[in-house]
Amino acid sequence: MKIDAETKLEIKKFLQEKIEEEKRKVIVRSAYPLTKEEMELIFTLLPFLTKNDLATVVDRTLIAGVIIHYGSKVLDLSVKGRLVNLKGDLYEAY
Amino acid sequence: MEQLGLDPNLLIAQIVNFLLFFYLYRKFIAKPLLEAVDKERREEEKRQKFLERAEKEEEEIAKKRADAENQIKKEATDFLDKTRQEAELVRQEILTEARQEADEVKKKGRTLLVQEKEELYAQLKQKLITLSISIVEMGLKAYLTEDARKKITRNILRSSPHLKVESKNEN
Repeated sequence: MKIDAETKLEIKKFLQEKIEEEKRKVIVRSAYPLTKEEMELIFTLLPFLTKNDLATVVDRTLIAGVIIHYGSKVLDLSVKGRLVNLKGDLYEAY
Repeated sequence: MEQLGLDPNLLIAQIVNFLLFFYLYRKFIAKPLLEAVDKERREEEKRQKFLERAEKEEEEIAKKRADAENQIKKEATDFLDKTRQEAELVRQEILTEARQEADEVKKKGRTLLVQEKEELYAQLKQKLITLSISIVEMGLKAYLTEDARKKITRNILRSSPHLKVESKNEN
């Protein structure tokens, strides 16, 4: 199926915009609703996050700490993540 | 002569008669009879010789038969011995092969056992680790209060100056 060049360009542009939009989205998952102070700490650690669309999600399974989803990247600062890492380390050790 | 009671004419006639009888007997009776007897005797001798020859041949045949029987028995015995020896060799070979196969099976079995044991240990360790982590997780979830969670979160955020953002495919 042959696509018109102009249509092709428009679709490409639209997809790129969507990708950029996704990249700008940031989701912060925490075990409880974060306070302003805690959010400030996060922004101190990752200054570029202030420019993005931020969303917070409460996930009790994290026990404590946060997980930050930024585009295709993930920053796991949760207790659950550490336990998972510990499990992996123990597997490798024994 | 007449005084003795002998008649010379009669005597002569009797002598002539006797001579004539003797001549005739000898020519027509004695000779064929003797020839017949002779012939009979010769026939008898022939039959006797034939019988002897037949007996001799019979003896030879019996001897040959006995020899042949002995030969057959000997060959049969040799054949049986040879067959027995070959059967014994085959039996030994089969036994050796069977023992080797049994040893291999034992060896494989031992190797398999060791492998299974190691796998079992590995599985057990993994389950133990998983269980331990789960217990810790459950304990933390049950034990930690809201304040404690907040304290931990703040400590984590404060003690993470240089952070590496891990790349993870969301899909």
